[in-house]
Amino acid sequence: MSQTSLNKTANPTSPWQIYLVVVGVGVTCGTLILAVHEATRQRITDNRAAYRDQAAITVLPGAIRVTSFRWDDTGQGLSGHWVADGDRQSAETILAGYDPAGALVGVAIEAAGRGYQDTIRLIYGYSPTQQVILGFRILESRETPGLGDRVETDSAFVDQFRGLPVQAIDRGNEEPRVELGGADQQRAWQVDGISGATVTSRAVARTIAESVARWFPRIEADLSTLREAHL
Amino acid sequence: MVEATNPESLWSIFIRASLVNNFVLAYFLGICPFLGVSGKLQTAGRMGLAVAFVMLIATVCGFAIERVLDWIDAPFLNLISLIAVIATTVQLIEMFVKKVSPTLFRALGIYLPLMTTNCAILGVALFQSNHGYGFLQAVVFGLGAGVGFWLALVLIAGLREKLDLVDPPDLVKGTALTLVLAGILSLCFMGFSGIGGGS
Amino acid sequence: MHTTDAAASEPGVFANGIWKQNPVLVQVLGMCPVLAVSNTTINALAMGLATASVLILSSATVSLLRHWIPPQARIVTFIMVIATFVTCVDYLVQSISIELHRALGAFLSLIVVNCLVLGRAEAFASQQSVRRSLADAAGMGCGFLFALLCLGTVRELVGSGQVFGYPLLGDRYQGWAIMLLPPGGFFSLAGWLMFFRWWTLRRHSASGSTFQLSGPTDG
Repeated sequence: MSQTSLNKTANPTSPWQIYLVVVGVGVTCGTLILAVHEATRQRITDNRAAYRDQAAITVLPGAIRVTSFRWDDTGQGLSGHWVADGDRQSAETILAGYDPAGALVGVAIEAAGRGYQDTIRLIYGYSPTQQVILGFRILESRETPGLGDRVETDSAFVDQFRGLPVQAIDRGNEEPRVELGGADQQRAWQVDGISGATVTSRAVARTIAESVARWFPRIEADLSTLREAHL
Repeated sequence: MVEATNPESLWSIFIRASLVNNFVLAYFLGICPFLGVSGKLQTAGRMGLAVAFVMLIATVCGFAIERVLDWIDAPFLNLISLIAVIATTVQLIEMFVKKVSPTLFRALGIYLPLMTTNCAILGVALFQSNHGYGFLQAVVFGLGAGVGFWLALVLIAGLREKLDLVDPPDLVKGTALTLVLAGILSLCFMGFSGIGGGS
Repeated sequence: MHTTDAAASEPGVFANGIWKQNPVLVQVLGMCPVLAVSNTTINALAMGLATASVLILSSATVSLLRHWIPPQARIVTFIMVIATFVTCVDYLVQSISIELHRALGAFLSLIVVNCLVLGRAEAFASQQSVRRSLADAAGMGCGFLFALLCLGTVRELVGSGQVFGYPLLGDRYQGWAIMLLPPGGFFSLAGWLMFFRWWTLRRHSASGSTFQLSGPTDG
């Protein structure tokens, strides 16, 4: 606060004095922000992790603890591997959930896609052992209340995603194409929508399908790391 | 926090920022000038343009500030640097308008310096970073949001000019009536939901 | 800006902000967050508390520094002080609840540009003693919180039949979804403004005094 006492005696209209006050206040403010940031950082990180873990457990029935994994793209194509790490805020991290015996229940993945109004963020569970979707939960959406937000509450719609099979179609040396739905459902949006919320329900199905297609090959490529983390 | 890339097309960003998620009518940003300077169509149009211009600059500044702060690893200074840059830009524009067109300067009155505290301007700078846009996408987003703001301001000004000809009951005169109008306009803009192409 | 309350004592200054000069319902200031986050009562409460605390902290700081800040650097200094407190409150909310922080979204950061906060700093705190500034900021903050709760309760009750998440109107009530959407914000605020105007007009016609209604002001 040395600048401020200096200004008390000086002529307040001098440009240098104005400059000094502005810089002085700026520096003080910056320091204060830094202090609060440092003081709250640990709690915020913990809160974020707890929030995401909680969301992951709701889409992984039977899981009691989760570990985050990051894909380390060391080589070309799919020759990378999973690395367990604590960064649970990045969208590039997946969460693997384990039951009390330490067996892998499934992985929870965050995905985002365009809905009717704005971006919909959701988290869904996927079981690599059974190759099925385990369920999903909306994290953030601005869809129409009473219509679009029924994708969370309409049990007929939500139940379709419990045990929805994921198929990998081998296309030779290209990346395998992945689609949602069984033999009788040929395309992702053959998941039955909700009337009155057609766009939103399709958006949810498409978002999950696109995300599975993206992560499926990597999960398959290094499944053993995910499986053995708690055995 | 910053996601890798957002694959959204430029056209879709523009439509969404200007119509579907109109800053005034869907996000409630920049309500103060919306209620305050919308009495006359001409003034409203010019004010809209001025704000749209600052919004575009703010988006570019916001984009740059975010990258710089990311680089020096100090994201907590984001808000304070943004507002400082916006305040400076508004000051410069105020000086420019005063010199070029004193009439416009008088017409805009208090609302010119108040642009510093216009939520739409800070909002556009903050939102572009939430969306994770690339540079070109951010510019289009700022442009679309500005056009949307201008459109809302001009629309409500036109309606209010017509309203001067009628004699409403004492109770609803003034802000309440303007808010009802804004509500109806917002209802109309909800009809734009869902357009702008798929992702 | 309103400086009419210069002569009142501290309790008077405080009461002024809540009722006679209510920032939202009478002065029509700081509309953006009022409309945007009043769709549920809990959001309205959190936003009101956050804004009130920023208002009180920044008014006190501005009042403390009022003799040292040259008039030309006023606005820039004030806004930097406000931005600092907003950033701090943002981190505090995050450390309390991530879910709440997500619900308030960018509007928490946008307290910086709430006309009410800068308006009080400029019109009151930069000229008055710390005690009176504190009383004024607390009054205005409570008035803002009160107005937000008025709006939030009506919107949540009509829109989804609940208040603070508790169903009040029973399971058979079909929510009037438009009240949760942007148009509902405009309509319910218009309704409250009319109500307050009616109330003031009625009271003053009853007591027979001539009272000049404060119309919409800048901000």
